[in-house]
Amino acid sequence: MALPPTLHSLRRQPLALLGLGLVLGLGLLAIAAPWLAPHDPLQVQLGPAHSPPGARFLLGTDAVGRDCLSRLLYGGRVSLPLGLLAVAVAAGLGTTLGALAGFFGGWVDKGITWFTDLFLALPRLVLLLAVLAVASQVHHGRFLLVALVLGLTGWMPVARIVRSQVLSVQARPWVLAARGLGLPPSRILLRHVLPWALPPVMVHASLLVGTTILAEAALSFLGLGVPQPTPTWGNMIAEGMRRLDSWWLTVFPGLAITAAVVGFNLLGDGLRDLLAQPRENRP
Amino acid sequence: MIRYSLRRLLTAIPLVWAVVTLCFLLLEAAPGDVSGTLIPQGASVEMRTAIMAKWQLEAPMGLRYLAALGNLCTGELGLSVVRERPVLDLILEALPATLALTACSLAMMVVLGLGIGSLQALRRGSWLDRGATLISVVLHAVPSFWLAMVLVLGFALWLPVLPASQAADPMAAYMPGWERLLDRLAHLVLPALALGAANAALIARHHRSALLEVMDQDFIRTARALGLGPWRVLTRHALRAALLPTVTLLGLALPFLFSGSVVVERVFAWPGMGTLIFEGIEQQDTPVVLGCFLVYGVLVVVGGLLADVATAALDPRIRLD
Repeated sequence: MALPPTLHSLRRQPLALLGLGLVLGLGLLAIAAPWLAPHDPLQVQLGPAHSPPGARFLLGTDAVGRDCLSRLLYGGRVSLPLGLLAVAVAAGLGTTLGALAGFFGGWVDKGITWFTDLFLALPRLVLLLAVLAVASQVHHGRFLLVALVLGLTGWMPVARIVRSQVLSVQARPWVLAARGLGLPPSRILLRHVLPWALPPVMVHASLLVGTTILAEAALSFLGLGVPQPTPTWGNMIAEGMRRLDSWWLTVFPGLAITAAVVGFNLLGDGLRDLLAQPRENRP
Repeated sequence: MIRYSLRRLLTAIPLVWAVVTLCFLLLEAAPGDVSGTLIPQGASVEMRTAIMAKWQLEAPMGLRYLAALGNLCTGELGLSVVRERPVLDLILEALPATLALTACSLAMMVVLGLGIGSLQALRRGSWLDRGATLISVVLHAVPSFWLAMVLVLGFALWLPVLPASQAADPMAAYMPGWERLLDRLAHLVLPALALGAANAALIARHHRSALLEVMDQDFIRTARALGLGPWRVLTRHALRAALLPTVTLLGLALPFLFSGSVVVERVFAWPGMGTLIFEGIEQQDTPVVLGCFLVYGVLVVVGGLLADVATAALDPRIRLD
């Protein structure tokens, strides 16, 4: 088959394929939500409040009689892109800082490493709480804000990985050759060092999406994420907290989160195994 | 080793200072301040100015920053503006509950993670191994607060065997000693399980691969060739070598456990640090928040140090200097 080599070797890893399937499946469900959802996710009093799953409402209704299935489908349209966006921010920032630290060394390295340790030393959620409490008055663009804040508190592992990768690549012959040719440092970094640091970043980014989705859910659960009435998986669970005996409010969004996180984690593990395999065209 | 520990703690001081400063700046950037909580609606102008003056809410930011740092250096960590009590007292009331929860989770992570990981490594490729791998992949992905709620659903609502909120029974003070202890332990089971499950899964996965790697090495083959039984080879030789990455992992897990405790404490109405800092942030009670951040920072630093010292104790090749 004319698959790209990466996808081709991915075929031999059933778990990674399962992960890819979960991620793509949930993504498609979220994209197709407007056509798949049986009801308007925001429409209240569609039926009696707290009606259990049944023929009319497949996953039941919530406290104000909204359809849980529709909310679950639409919830993916917030939780998934928010996780991806936050990881893009984290990966970008982490790669930049890590590359600078590894490439320039000296004081730059010391400063950035200290900064990284500072952020790693704090419980992330506590930091998030502080930032979002600060921004609690912001109502418009809450999605972007939460994504940005999650990204700004999640870059540290990426920076560490990129730094060590850059350090090891720097001793390779082609980098020495480029230095010997007198190429400007920016060109050496961008063209000859950084490309070799990116594969592990890809792996870590995939794993990071999982933890980010979990962090976003925790924020929503605490009432600091994207607010009601917009459905997110996290704030749906928070609603379930108020009426624990309506178990369907709690159980289904949690399963959706778990499925998404399992998907991204399996995909990341698969990619890592793939990179660990020796291949001729790798340094 | 003592000199090393002292130096580590000294270098951590600027780190903790930076954490506190960052936190202060964040709270400053917030619109409004603690007066929103403090001053009742419809208060007279005199009352308002009196309150503002009492807590120096209108002093310039630099002055308040210095005052806050000064507060942290005094023994009591300053006064909570909302509760008018020393922050240290509030923290000392909340900290045991959180430490009990965290310690229980850590213990569970070690017992379950090492136990299941070892079993998997010994029965590599069996159904037990595959099943446990699958379960640990799923458990690692479960949100802790959701697991907490599902546990409450299962073991407090449907099958009412365990308490689902607070750290102790309201009547605990009237119980005899052993019954009080039992009551405390019963209250710990569900929160500790919810908090530790994901990390236990992580540790099981790491421990399995670490043990498999060790089992392939020469000294294990020598031990087997000497005729030692599999149990003795595992406990006396393999486990010790495979423990190193796990101990490091445990040290790193501490910030995650503190993060998790904020949400898990909320589900169980657990009177700990998570609840304290959450309320402090909500009310913008700066001294409380700064005090909590200080304590978290110190705990994380000490946890990392303990992990490093334990690693050095386990592996004579590692020298701390």
